[in-house]
Amino acid sequence: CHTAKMLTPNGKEYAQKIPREELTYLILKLLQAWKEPLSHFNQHIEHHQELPDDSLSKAKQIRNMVHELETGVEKVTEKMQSMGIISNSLQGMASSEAAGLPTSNEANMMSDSDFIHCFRRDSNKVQSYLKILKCRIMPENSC
Amino acid sequence: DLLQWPQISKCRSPELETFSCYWTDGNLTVPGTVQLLYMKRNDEDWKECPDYITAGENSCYFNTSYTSIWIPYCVKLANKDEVFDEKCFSVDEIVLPDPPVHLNWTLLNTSQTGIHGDIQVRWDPPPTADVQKGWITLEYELQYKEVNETKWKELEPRLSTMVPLYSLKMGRDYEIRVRSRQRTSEKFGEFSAILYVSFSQAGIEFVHCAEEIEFPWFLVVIFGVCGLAVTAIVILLSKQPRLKMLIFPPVPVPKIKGIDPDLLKKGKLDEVNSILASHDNYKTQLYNDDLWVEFIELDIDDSDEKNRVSDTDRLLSDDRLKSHSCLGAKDDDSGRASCCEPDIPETDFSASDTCDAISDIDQFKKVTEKEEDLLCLDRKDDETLPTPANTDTQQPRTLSESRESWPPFADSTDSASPSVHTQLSNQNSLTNTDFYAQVSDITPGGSVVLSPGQKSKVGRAQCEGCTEQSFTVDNAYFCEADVKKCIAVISQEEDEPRVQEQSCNEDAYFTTESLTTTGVNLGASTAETPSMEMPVPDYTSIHIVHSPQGLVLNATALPVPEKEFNMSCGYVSTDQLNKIMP
Repeated sequence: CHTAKMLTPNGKEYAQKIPREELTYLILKLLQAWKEPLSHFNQHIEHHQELPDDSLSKAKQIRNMVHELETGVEKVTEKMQSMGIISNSLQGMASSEAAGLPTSNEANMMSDSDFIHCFRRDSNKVQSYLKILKCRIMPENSC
Repeated sequence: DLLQWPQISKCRSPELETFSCYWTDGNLTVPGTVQLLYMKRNDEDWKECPDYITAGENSCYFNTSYTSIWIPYCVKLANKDEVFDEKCFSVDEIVLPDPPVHLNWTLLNTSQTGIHGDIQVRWDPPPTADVQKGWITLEYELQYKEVNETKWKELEPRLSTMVPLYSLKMGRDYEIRVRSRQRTSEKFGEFSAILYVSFSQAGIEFVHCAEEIEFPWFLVVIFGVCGLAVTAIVILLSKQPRLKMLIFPPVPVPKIKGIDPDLLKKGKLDEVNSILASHDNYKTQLYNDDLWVEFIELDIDDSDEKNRVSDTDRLLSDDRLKSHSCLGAKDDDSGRASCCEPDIPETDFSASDTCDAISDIDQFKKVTEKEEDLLCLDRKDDETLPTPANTDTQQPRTLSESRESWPPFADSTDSASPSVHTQLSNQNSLTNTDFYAQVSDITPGGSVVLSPGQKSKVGRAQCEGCTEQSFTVDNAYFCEADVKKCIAVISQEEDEPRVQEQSCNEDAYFTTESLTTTGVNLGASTAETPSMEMPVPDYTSIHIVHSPQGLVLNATALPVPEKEFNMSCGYVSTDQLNKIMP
């Protein structure tokens, strides 16, 4: 997977330990890393005749969902920063790890099944991280 | 029997934090001990299972420190020499949650009959799964069945930990079980312990139905349909007409009196048409007969105005019919005669008039005003002048008729005075009811050309002499009186004064031209169109019939704006009015 180079917490404990800013940043980076490959993938599978029509529509739907999710997380991040829940050092971290972002070429070289497998894994990560982040933002929860 | 190597049966993670792998020994005796080795993706070498005990025999347990989510693992079962089995996976793919715990149920409500009830089943998520923090999201599937049933009923997987069950039979016991799975996965974990639901044990009052009787609707429907079919067939085939008619009444067919339905069926249209025609003819003839009878009677009496009036009304009404019939009957010059009574020219004329005057029946029905005309007409026994029939619709015919009537009338006025008088009476009646034929023109031959016209009644004029006005109307009826006067005047004088305008009023139609022509024909100078006061009505009733000289029409003043009409009698036709009006 083109996002394998990203250092992400591989367990619940790690996800609970890292700072919230980093967790938020990771979530955003993951979402951003998949926007373009998904679009490219949709263009790629449109030419596949054997795929049923609902698969194509589903792929487009997923791509739109990822895009909306990324937009939503950005807004939540801004809100958190404005409320002081997380610090504003997020921008610094973004720039330092810019090299870690996968290039679109790597994503294009994957096969379709690997592409789907990688996307499934990363979407599962994003879901878990968001759940933990939500728990950690609420002060009443004992995360 | 088959020789099997040790195999890794499954690897599962119950909560996405730890995982375990299980294997089977196999039949073969394997030298040495079997080890489970694992390797992460980034490792260089295989490592041995950290815990062989916690998960049980032939198992390997990886705790949280050894577990990395989203990272590919490979495990293999091997001894020192050979590898028996190998498996690669990622921990997030092998999640199989533990079963839910703490199942219980509560009674929601019972039906009024006490036979059925609703319950709510609740449970807790497996304790190992950290659902609270949201690290893992679980779905639950509930299954239930009656105790003595074999097949479980399934509900849709849902995220909530409580489910209502509706319409359970309170006399039966149920078994309930729940299982869970990770929301993004497809495989379910193990089922929970079975929950037994027994209403009797709960001490709930219910109606114990010994056995459930389900109404055999199916049988009822089948037998009902068969019975109805048999009954219908029996009725159809039965020879009793009464019963048959009661259930299957015959459809009525159209019937026409006097016509044999067979004619219609066979399509003998000619015969049918003749029959229908004969019916109408018969009717009209009846009317005609009555009319003539009454008419004659009136003539004889010739005294009672009222009688006349009443008779006139009747006559008028009859006249209409008669005219219809008359019109229909005749067609040639003497057709008018054939219309009613050929032997009496005057009568014919009047008949024709009546025939022609069908259109103005409405106007004619203005009885009251016409009465006077009639009176005028009646008084002059010797002066019987057939009034032009009112013919709005049959103008050409009227003209011809009038033409023909004129000469005969003139010729036979004297001799036919009684008839003329009769006719006049007819005319009177006609006039009374505004039944006038508008004389539109008078042919040189002396026949009056009648034309349809409107009739407006304006005051009654005395029935005396002719009035100029009466002659003015083009397509108007002549008041008998007026006409008579006019004709007399015309015949005697070149210029007829309008003196007698008032003489005969009432609903007299004048045809100016006709009047003039009439005058000419009769030897009198054509009556100039009298004052345009003549009303528009097309017909002037002939009020007086001056047999030798002609007709005296009752001039009726047209309601010309700003003009006072001295209507002798009758009506002024529109043409007259137009002429009158500049």
